Amino acid sequence: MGADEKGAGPVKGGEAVGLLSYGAYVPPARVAVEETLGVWDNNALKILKEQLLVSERVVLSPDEDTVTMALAAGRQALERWSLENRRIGGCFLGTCTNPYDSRPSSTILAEALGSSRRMECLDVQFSTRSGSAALQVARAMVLSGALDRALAVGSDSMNRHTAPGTFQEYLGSAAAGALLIGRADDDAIAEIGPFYSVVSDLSDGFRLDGERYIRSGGLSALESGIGLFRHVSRAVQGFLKTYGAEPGDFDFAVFQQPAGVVPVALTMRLGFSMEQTMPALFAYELGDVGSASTLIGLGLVLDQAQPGQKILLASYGFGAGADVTVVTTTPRITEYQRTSPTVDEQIKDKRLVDYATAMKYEGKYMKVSQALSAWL
Amino acid sequence: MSLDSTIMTMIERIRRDAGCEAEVRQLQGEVLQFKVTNGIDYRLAFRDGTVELDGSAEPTFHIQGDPQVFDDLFQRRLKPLAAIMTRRLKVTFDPVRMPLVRRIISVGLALGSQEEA
Repeated sequence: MGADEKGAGPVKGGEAVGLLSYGAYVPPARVAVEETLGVWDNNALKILKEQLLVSERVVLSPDEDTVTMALAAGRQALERWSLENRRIGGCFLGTCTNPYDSRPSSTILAEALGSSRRMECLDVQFSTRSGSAALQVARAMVLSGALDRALAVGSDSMNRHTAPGTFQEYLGSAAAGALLIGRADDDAIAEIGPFYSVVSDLSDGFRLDGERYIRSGGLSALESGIGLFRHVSRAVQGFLKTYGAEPGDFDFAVFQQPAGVVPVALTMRLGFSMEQTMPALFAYELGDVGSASTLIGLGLVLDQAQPGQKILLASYGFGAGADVTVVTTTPRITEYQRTSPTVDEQIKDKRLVDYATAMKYEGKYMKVSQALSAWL
Repeated sequence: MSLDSTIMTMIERIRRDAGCEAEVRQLQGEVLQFKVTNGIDYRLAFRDGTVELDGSAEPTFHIQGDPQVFDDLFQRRLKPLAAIMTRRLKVTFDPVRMPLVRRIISVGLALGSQEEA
């Protein structure tokens, strides 16, 4: 990447759109790192829990996948706003773990939500930055006046696409976050925007056509800083410079969290404080929830934010670069927070399963006749 | 064991442990506050090469949580790092000096080298 960054710069126009509502879904089944370690003996518990900062990850139950999670999160977002579903003009699903290769899932989501047939739907695949990319699409559609309201969802089941016996198996997880976007004057609980994005071509994670498991560029990409750290740092610094802001101007900072150590390291590296970051930490308990990462972190913060607070949001996707935006709460946030369950309650509502059950649920112990399409 | 006596035990451990004398000296002038959400708070002031309880000292490090979290911490059912990473403990600190505080807390809670805070 050159000094001026390929493709760097804010999205055209610095206007903000309204965040009308949000929702989340975190599957309750979890497996502890000790379970995986007990089978493979391929790491050290101290490294996992005290350096990588991960203790458990989500396990998808047999009736859950990327689409069902997106539906649960989307439904919560709509119910909280008491919106008649057919009044949504757009439904944008960001995921890099779509159950289908060549058909969309956003249409399944829209129909399951009871939406009108006359609407804009789009699957957004932009690796683990797909959730914030879907948000950018929704924002652009609302800002342009093409839509009054749109649902942007980030949902991923990384755990179904991490191979047994690999380092990624300790982290690969699943969850979904949904944001209902509308005009800023439409009873919004927060305003979102502007965005600043940086991209470069980097194979720090990928899955070839026909492959099930995500190949990783390895921990070296994380350690050397050429992937997530470089891109997020440049995006955050670019955003701050472009909009004349400083880390201290934000009440909260939400970073992509493929592991618990990542937001902690970014906090130190970028000049933020742990006070700004801590309320959004979840990877220690959940692992890497992919495209839902910053949306889950944002939900944790919004559940406790006060009016007028600013939240910096920084997403990263392997091979997809990073984007940064700001979410500023309005006075309506306090009234909105009376709805439940909170994201924290969903994270704490869990049941631990053993490794064998996790493998069975995630289709890694498979019957010969089991379909390979939707992993169901 | 009450929180009062647990804090006093912590202070005694820190004072007695020769292995953390350097950290105590480097924290000269700092005040570590344990703020319990039920209104109780304890302030450990580092001065003159030792540590003492001083409720009137101005805190420079804050550790805040509910009574159950502090009970779990002091009874070693929960590690401080895990409490922070699961949002149960809120901390305010200077990242440069945090390793010193971490070492002090490990000594105070009598955590072994394999289970540092």
